[in-house]
Amino acid sequence: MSFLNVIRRRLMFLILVLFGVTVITFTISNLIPGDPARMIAGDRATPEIVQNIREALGLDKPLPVQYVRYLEGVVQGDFGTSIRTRRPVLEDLRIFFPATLELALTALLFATALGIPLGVASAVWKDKPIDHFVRVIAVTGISTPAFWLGLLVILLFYGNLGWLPSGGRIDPSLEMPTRVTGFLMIDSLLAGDLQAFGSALKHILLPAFTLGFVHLGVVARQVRGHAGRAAARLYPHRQGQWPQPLQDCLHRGTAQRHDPFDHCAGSRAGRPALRDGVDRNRLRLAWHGRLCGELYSGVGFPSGHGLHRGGLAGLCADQLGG
Amino acid sequence: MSDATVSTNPVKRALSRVDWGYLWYQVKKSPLTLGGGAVVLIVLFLVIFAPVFATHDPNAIDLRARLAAPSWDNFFGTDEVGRDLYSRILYGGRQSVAVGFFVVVVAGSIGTFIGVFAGLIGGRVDVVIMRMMDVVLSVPSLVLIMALAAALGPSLINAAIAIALVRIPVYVRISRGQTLLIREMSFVTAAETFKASKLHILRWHILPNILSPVMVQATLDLGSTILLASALSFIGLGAQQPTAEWGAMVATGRNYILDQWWYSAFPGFAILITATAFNLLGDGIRDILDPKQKAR
Amino acid sequence: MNTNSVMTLTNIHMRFPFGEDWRGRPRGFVHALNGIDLDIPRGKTLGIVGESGCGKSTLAQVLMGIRKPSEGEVTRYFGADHDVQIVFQDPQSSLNARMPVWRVITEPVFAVSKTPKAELRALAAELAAKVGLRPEVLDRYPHEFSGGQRQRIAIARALSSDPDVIVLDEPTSALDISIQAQILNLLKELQAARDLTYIFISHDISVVRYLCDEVAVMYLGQVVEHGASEVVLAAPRHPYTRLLLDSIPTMRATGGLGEALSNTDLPSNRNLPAGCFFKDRCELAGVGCDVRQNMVPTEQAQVRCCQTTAAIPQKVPA
Ligand SMILES: Nc1ncnc2c1ncn2[C@@H]1O[C@H](COP(=O)(O)OP(=O)(O)OP(=O)(O)O)[C@@H](O)[C@H]1O
Ligand code: SF4
Ligand SMILES: [Mg+2]
Repeated sequence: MSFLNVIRRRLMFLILVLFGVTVITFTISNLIPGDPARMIAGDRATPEIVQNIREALGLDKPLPVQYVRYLEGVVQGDFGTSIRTRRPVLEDLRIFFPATLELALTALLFATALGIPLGVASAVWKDKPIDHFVRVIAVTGISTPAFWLGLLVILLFYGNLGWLPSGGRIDPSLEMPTRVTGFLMIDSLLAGDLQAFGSALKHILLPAFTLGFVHLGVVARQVRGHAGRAAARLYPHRQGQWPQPLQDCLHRGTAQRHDPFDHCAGSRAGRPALRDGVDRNRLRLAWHGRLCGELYSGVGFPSGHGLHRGGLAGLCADQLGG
Repeated sequence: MSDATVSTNPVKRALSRVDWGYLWYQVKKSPLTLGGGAVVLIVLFLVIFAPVFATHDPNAIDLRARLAAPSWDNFFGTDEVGRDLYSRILYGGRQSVAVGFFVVVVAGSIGTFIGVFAGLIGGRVDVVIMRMMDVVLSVPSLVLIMALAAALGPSLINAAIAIALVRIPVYVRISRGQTLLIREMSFVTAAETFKASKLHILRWHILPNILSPVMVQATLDLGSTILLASALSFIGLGAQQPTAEWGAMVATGRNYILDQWWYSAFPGFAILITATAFNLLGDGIRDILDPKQKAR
Repeated sequence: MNTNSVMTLTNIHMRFPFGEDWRGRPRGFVHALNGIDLDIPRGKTLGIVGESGCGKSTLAQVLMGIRKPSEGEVTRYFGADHDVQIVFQDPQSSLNARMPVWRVITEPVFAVSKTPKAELRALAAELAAKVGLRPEVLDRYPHEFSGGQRQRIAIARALSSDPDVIVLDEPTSALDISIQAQILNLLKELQAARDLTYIFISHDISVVRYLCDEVAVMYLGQVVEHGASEVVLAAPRHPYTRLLLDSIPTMRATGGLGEALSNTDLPSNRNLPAGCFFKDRCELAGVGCDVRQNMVPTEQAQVRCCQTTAAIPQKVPA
């Protein structure tokens, strides 16, 4: 009964949130200065043509009417047409989203692969040099302008060393692998094209490192917090001090290969805590991935009209992806 | 005797209540916080007295000295029209720091006002306000900020307004939660038995007690705001030419990154240093004032 | 009507809604007070005892006028409302850490009227002296003080509006025994000097015996026995009072009343029992106990029980 109530409340709230989101998106898209009809028609179109387009799009109707039409479209899966690319937003998403997601996931892999061990280490050796080091990394990470770090790594690895490419997803001279997942690295492997895979990997390294670095410290700090709390819960009498076996484990260097909670403490209690910390981050990462992904893939940032009504679709897609 | 020292200014009064000795003792134990605080002070000093430290007029164009490498004349080199990057970075810091404080003050005061109001009034008004805040919080803030900034029109002040608007719910949450907490304390019950007005309770009990969590949040927000504002400028939604602004400078410098690395590198480094310093300070202050929130 | 009383409570009921179904209607009610009739004697100390959750603090709130009873009436026989003041159990949360002591003490005054600072400080100094605080504490903040000192500050605050009545809600239960005694003596002195009426809520029978002229024993939101404290505490007529007194030795050992009584549980105050509220725990229960009981006046005390006319002797420990 009360469980159903919770679900009912959650659902009602979700509907409310979605409604609010559509209102915000709609309002913003109408606040953005400029006339979409004029944009579509081009600079040299006559006022009549512009007027026709406006009527065809229903832009002459009062705003509430436009909003209801917009909502109808959204409910039917029609997120509108991007004025910038003139493709349906959903189609745009289908094209760009896998690239974003691939980048975000690679960055996440990097951030967690380094962040979790660092976080656990700084929880175990709390207030020791490693803990301070992780803290500095974390604070530096969240304080680093990713757009700038991206430039610096391009300067170094592309400009100076010439090891890695500066942009794009794959070497243009190579044939794109057949699209299956949209993830170039996976698709190229599926196609058995190791050369394409290598190229895709090379192309994603710099942006993934940049993104991953920005989040590495955050992951580490969160893991530290969760691990510390988990330890306090598991061993309340130790007042947050770690049990000896765990320390031993880490000394033996098994931390990287095993989940230390699983391996040493013999308890599952620590795992959700860890996962929780990582999960929450994943969402944020996806968003930053979106921003940076667009910056690096050379699409350029969609300022002004580009945002248009894709906002909601982008939100949903990223929520799913995150 | 101490009548004279008790100020009527609420902020001053709150500050006068901070146990400075204890704070200093804690800060001294945390070298990172201390370092962050020191760098913050240095940055503020440099930026406020930018005219004194600048070697050139930040907007003086010298086409003969275009894209000059760092030298004794131009510490950080020059840009594509020969302006001195070192001086521009000093002046650019004014923009960043000003945006940081603007956002924190605006979002902090509006958010606190709404939060305290919701917490004190309660009932339906409270529910409606909080649902609205939840909706705003549920939209990824970066997207919302970019959309708002675009809608308002690209300029630094609009970027700052956009960030401030989107940060408001954070302060609403904090101050409402704290208000509800304090409302249940028995010193408020006691005040109710004195037939004290809501205004009295607000003035003497609620406000003094929510000031420190709000200030902690504000300190934490300074760093991320500076970063966000420069990111908006970088993508063209913030400061416009010819204003000296760090993010915008990195953006123009991007075109020259391979040959004139200093153009992008120094302004970006300035962002990094400033944001790191504010974040270290904020993190440390939170640990001291708000130990329960540690390492979140 | 009654010049010997400062307040009269008539048939006070207090219900709190709890839970909410999905339409927002309460699922039921917590019956915190179930028909309290009480005269608060002027210039005396009325003790209110009873185990945890029986409604003592709720009663205090009704007396303070910060909660309107769901039913019943509170009559006050004095002027301005803030002539009732309160001292809470927990001296940690009852003083705002962000106010200097002189502000804390004089809050009841400046909360309702604009008073010059100099006057407030003078008043604070005077009251601090009365409750045994040195004048130099006035500019410090409450967190710098020990529990006993904080309780002195709270008492000074209660005195500052020159009240007729002070409600003391377990004012000493958070304090060490030796500090307790100091505070109780202070309360006694103040009462003698200022002709105060105390309503003293406590778990601790021996403290009540020491301080109170009258005592009202509460059970499940009702007063079950009320009379002069030497009578009620020496020769209880209600089985519950007997049980309370018998539990004192164990209480000393375990440090809590609730624990000593926990062999039988306090019935839920969500669904009130049909007959006498105490029936399930009562050893004397018999015919006539299946109906709600009324207060029966005996020579010295009022008792809410149909069976007893004489004092119940203490059980001889086996
Ligand atoms: N605001 C409220 N909302 C709902 N129930 C309440 C509220 N206040 C008190 N109650 C309930 O009323 C009953 C009496 O509470 P009260 O605080 O008066 O007990 P008490 O005798 O003071 O106990 P203690 O000795 O532990 O202080 C309890 O069951 C409590 O849960
Ligand atoms: S009325 Fe009956 S049940 Fe109630 S207290 Fe008296 S004897 Fe016990
Ligand atoms: Mg109580």
